[in-house]
Amino acid sequence: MQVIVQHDKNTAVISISGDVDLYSSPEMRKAITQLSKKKVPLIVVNLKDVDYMDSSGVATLVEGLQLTGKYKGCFRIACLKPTVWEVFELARLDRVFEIYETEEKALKVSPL
Amino acid sequence: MGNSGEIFMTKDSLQKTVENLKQEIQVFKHQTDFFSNLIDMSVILTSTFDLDVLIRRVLEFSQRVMFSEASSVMLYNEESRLLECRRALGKAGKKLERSFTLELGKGIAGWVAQSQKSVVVPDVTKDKRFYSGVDKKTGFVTKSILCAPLVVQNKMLGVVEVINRKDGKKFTEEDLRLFETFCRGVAVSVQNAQMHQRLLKNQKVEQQLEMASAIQQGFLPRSFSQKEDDKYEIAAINLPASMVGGDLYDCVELRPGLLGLTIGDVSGKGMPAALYMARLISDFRFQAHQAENPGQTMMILNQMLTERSQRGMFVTMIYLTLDTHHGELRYVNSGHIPPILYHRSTNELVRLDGGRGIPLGIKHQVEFEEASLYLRRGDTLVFFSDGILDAKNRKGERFTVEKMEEIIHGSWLTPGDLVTQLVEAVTRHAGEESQFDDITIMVLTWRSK
Repeated sequence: MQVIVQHDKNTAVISISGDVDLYSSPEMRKAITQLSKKKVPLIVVNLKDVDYMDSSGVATLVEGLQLTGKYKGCFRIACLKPTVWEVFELARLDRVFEIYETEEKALKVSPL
Repeated sequence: MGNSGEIFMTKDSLQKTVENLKQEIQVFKHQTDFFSNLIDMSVILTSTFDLDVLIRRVLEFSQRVMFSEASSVMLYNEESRLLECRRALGKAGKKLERSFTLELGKGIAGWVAQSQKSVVVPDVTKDKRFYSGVDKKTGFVTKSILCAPLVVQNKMLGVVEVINRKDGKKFTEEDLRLFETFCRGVAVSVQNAQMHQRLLKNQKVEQQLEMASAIQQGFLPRSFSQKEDDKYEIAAINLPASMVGGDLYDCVELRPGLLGLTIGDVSGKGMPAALYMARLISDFRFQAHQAENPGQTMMILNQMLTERSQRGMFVTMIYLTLDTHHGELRYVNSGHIPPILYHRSTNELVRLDGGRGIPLGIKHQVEFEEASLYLRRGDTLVFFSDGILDAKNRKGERFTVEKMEEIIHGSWLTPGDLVTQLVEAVTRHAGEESQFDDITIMVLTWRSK
């Protein structure tokens, strides 16, 4: 799995590629926790190159949501592939996360 | 020389011959010592798998053969990227053991570790690589050093050093050659001892996991006490992917005529998921008796799990109550895979898609919507965790809900039969492939009208 982080003072995009599972999710977690420590107001996780995500990966995203929530930040997910979308939909996580079709939309939309 | 064969030698030539013989004896003695040392060395290197004992013997041998005042073994810690003094003999030894660390490249030992080359330093005052910090700290005076790396298949494990000859002489290149030969053997023995240590540690962890597995299985009901006149029958199975897992199921009698049934799947796998599951099942048993309905139970559990949330862990869970007199089922599904409902009377299969909400442990203040239905005679509910759908065969194809439905449609007599058939089908599908995720199946059949 590869994690690329681009960020400025107000926004951060974490681009993930590869499978996200029990063994690879700690790397994604590291990026999310570092950014939330800096209290970046908007964090977008781009999953366009992720074909598979297990519940450990989802838990890492939940942690991101909870961490950013503590400082009233925004945590968004973008570009879910159908296989990953299925995981989110089955567990009703589409009601938990703000999910966007594209990274651009995730960055443009004003916080809810 | 006379005819009788007597030998006549001049005094000079006799002296020369004696001298040559003395030299030959000396060389022979040297060779005998060398081979004797080699034998001792091979005995030491194969004598034990205990790393500390091995290192002590290595140092004692090194000091004896190299005639040195002090010696030490420093092992490389891959995590800290430092050389750590494991054992040191000599006057300052105790001050260094298990406390002194050295960066790669620093001092003679650091240089040897980094370059993976042995070195003899006859006079440390003339060598810029020498690090005097240890002498300042301990009061020891280093004069001459022999140092060799412990390397196996290009992997550097550490270094061995001997310091100062007892007779005040300096170490020589010849000393270095013997020391190097010895250290090549030491490296292999150290690696074997380290592997042995890891093996023992893994065995201990495995034993503890076996115990944890037995304890965890003890949390789950092994059988469901049913009477002959009961209108329902239940069977369940839990197969963790590793020794312990995060799936759960439970069945509690809330009051006469009312059963509480649950199935859940904690995010992640292994020990963290197992510990989460253990606490959850105890909370569930308590809260199920306190609350008035499934929605309230789930709301309270969600509140508790969210408050103590760690690393975003959550659980998908279905909780239902069954009125065992009338067959009324009330249920809440928090992000879990909807169960399959089989109407035997019509041979129909439906996905029980109602009462769906988000998993527990993610968000505060969530309301859980309840759904309900009345069971008809022969109705069977099949609850399962996603591990069953994660089971892949050699081609990477997953087991599917459709395959489950074929089996449910097929020939089976009791919930226990159905559970067995489903497990057998998943096992057949996976073949030699290892189980990827925890698998839990719970089947409820309503027998009354």
